[in-house]
Amino acid sequence: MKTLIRIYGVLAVLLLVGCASDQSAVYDYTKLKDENPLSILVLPPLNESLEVNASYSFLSQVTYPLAESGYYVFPVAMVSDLFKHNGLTEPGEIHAVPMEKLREIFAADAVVYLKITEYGTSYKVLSSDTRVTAQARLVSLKTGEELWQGSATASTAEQQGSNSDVFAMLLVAVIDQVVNTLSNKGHEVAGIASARLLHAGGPNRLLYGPRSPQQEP
Amino acid sequence: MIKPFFLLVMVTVALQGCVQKTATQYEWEGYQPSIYNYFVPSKHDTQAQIATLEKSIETAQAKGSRAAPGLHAHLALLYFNLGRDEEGVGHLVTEKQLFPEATEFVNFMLEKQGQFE
Repeated sequence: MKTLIRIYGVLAVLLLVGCASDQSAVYDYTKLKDENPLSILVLPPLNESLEVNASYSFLSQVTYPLAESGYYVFPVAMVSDLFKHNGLTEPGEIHAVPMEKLREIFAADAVVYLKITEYGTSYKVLSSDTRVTAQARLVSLKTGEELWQGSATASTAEQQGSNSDVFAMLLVAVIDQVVNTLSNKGHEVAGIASARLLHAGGPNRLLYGPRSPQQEP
Repeated sequence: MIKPFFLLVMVTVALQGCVQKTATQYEWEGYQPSIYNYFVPSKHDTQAQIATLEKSIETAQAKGSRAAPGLHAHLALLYFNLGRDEEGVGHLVTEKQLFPEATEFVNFMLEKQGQFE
């Protein structure tokens, strides 16, 4: 019985730690709060990994975290097609499109530039690790200034039971509902990385946007 | 036998305490997978994607919620690709009605509409 009580005790502490958020190193949100962008244009990510589908695998999963965080996200496939019909197929070329042009066509408040630095599976002696890492920059289309930036990683090798994993497990449950028909492991991990990178809430993360009931006044 | 069960219940209850809100703001069924399928040609099945997205819109209407931002526009894109322009235009118009912040972009696409055929 004593052992059981101890287990409950440790468990309770672990769970409380899991709920608490780290308040250190807080991002300077002044510009983001001042501009309070509503509509966000997400461009196809630059891809530094060896996986050819990485860019579009990731891009197809950015709408959910951003929209559920209170932002309007322009339809990413339609946006990509529009660039393609204008002769721009490479993410690098699209990222080079002047902001004035983007503002003229989309009338978006802000643009998200993404870069994927890792996407794929590395095989080790005892296990394999499928890992996706990406960086994001949210830039105002009104002023051209950076409003927020962040980076995130997701991996199949993450240890069970750690702090971040409680959150990850919950995210996995959410993502599973969204991509339940897809079996590609890299794509699933990209979905978790995208949610960690672009969902609002938590230290240094993006803030909730105008369409979210959770936006702070 | 009862103890492990009790523990499980406790963990479940405690975990739920961490979740702020499980319900989503919008109806998502099929939208992101359809975007992925759009980009990865081997998985391209436009008809099935249209059916899923139409169902998603019905679900949203039944619940009094809204389809995800971009879902109607994406559906319009699929219709345009099949040459069903009238339905495509209808969904583009719905997109800007649901999300007025998309109006300028939608108007731009309505003008350019022919290029998706």
